[in-house]
Amino acid sequence: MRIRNPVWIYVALIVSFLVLLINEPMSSGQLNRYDISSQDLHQFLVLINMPLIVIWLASLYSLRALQKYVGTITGSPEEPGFKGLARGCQWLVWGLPISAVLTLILAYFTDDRNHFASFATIFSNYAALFLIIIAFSVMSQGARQLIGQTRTASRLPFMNAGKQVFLAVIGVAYSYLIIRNFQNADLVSASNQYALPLWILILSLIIPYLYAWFLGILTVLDIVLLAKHTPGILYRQSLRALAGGLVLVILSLIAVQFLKAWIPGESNSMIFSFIAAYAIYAIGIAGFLLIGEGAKRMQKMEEV
Amino acid sequence: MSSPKIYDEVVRITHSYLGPAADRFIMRQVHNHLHKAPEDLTKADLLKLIDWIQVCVSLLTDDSEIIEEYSSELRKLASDKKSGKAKDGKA
Repeated sequence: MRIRNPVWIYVALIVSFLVLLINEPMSSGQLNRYDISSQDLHQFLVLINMPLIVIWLASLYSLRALQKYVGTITGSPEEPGFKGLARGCQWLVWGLPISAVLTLILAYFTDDRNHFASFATIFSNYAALFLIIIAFSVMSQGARQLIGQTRTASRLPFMNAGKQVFLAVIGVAYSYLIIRNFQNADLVSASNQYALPLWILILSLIIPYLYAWFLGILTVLDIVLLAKHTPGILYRQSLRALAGGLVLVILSLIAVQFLKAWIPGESNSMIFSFIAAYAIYAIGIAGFLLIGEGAKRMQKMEEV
Repeated sequence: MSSPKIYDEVVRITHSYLGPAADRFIMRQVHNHLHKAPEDLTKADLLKLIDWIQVCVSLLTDDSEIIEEYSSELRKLASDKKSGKAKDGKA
C-alpha cells in the first residue's frame, strides 16, 4: 500500500514522542546517575530531548529536498545514484523518531525490579543501530553508483593517511569509553548503559557502529570524489554542500554515541550533558539543513 | 537552416557550469523561451537565448563573476558565429 502523505505520519510520530516524553516514568538508574529529585530529572530530560524535534524537522526538510530533486532528473544517468542517496536518507530520517518513540514506549513497561529493563535497553540500542546501518548501506550504494558514472578510480586511494588515522582514533576512543564504564558484575547498573556482557557488546554493538560510521564516511568520500571529477562549477558547489551536510550529520551521530558512553563526574554531570547535547543538536541540524540546501540548489538547476 | 552544432556548442560551454544538468538546462531554455526544438536552433536565436540563460543562471547563483564569465563565453560563441557568417558571405 502506498502512503499518500507520509509527512502527516511523521508529524504524528513527533506528537507521540512529545506526549510520551512529557509523561515518561523515571527509572531509579536515571535518578542515581544525576542524584536529583524525580520532578527535576523529568524537567531536565524534557528540556534535553525537546530539541530533537527540530533535528527531525530539519532531517525531513533534507529528505523532501532530495526526493524532489530526484523527481526532476527522472530518466537521467544520475537518477539511480541520487535515488539511492534519497532512500538511505529516508531510512535515517524515519529511523531517528521511530527509535526514539520505541525507546519511550518501552520505558513505560520497564520496571527496575524485573528483567524487562534490560530487554528494553538492548532492544532500543539494536533498533537504533539497525536503522543507521541500513541507512548508510543504502546511501553508500547510491554514492557508488554515482561515482561509477564518472569512471574515476577507486575511492580507497583517496582515503589518505589522515582520514584513516581519524577513523582509527574514533574507533579506539569509542571502545575505550564503553569498556572504561563497563561493570561486568551488574548488567542493569546505571553505568552499564547497554545491559550486555562485554564480549557481546564489542561484537554486536561497537563493531557494527564503527562499520556504520565507516560506511557513512565512505559515502561522503564518494560524493567529494564525484564533486572533484564532475564538470560544472555550480553543480560541484551543490555536491560539496551535500557532502558537508552529511559529514555534520555523521559527526552528530558519532557524538551521540560518545555522549552515551561517556559518564562524567557527578558534580557537573547535568551541565555537561546539557551543553554537550545542545552542541550535538546544533551540528545535526546544520548538517541536515546543508544537505537540504545542496539538494534544493540542484533541483533549481533542473527547473529554471 | 537547422544547426545542431550551435546547440551542442552551447551545451558544451554550459557543461563547465552546470555539469550533467547542462543538456537538460539548455533544452528547457530553447523549448520554453524560443519555443523551438534543439535541432531547430539557428545562429539568429543565439543572442536571445544568451539573454534568457543569463536571467536563469542569475537565479541559480549570486556570484556575479561566474554569471559574467559564462555569459561572455556564450557571447564569444555568438560573435564567432557572426564573423564566420560574414566570412562565408565574402567568400
